[in-house]
Amino acid sequence: MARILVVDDAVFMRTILRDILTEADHEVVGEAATGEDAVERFSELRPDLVTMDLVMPGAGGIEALSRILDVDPDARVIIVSAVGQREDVETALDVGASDFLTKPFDKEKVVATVESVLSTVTGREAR
Amino acid sequence: MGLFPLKGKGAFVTPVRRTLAAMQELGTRATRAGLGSLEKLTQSGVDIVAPGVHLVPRDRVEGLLAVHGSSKIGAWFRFRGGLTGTVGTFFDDRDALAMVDLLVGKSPGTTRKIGELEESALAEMTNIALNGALNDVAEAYGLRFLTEPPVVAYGPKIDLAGLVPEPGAGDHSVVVETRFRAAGGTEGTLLLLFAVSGESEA
Repeated sequence: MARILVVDDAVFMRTILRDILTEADHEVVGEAATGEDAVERFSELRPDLVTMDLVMPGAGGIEALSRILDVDPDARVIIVSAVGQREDVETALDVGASDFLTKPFDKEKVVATVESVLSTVTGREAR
Repeated sequence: MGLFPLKGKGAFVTPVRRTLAAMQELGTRATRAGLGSLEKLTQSGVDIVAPGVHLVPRDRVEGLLAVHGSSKIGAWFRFRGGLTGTVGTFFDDRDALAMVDLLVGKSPGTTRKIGELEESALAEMTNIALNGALNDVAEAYGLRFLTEPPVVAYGPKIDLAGLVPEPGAGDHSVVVETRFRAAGGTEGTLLLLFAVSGESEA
């Protein structure tokens, strides 16, 4: 079981992700609706994984991702966004996202991606 | 046929008729992709009831969209980049409630009012379906779009002027309106509005 922070400005999407992740035996330890809130919640909760929307009011997902990686370079962050143009995916992965899921998604795909990212060994774990 | 008028990042300076033909092709593609995303979201078929494409001067866009001012609820967002415009969905009272039932997987008639979660569902549906449309167009035509978070409004509070692309984006707009029908007869309108610059052919 992993401790997961769900970041999305839409309460509907946070609810869907929470249901999927909880059903897959993970614990959603927190939610955030803005990039700023995401960084704050990450620092406070230190989750095993973050699901991060891209387009949100205020700081977007890329800026939040970058700031989370400043806090913890080993942070595992999966981008979950309706915006899925090639440049968006490349930018997110270049900045340091662990993976990228485009909405609408299948429940099975979300769970498989989360499991795959959680199974990767971070630099800290390797040491 | 390719999208011949594109120059650089979406500069459309073409005769109006050629612009309309190109944008019809682009709009059709975007609409199909948007409705495809909606099918995936609702896990049901979505049919086109009535498509419509209009090329109108910027100052007449608000009048053309007046019909949506009587909608129960509308959700839309602006985009810029390869093209500039606004995309959104509009629902009447019964259809808005029925669409929420479809999105959350509840039996028809379960949702009785639009609260925070229901409003968020309709906004996110718009976000996903229409970003799906823009993603498809971006890939097909080598464009890049930057989108804003969706805005939701009810009935008389729907700011039709807010749907019109900003001055400077183009002196005309191509408005692609598609009336669609999802499971259980739930109907709504998918709107794609692209700003274009056109020269008259006089």
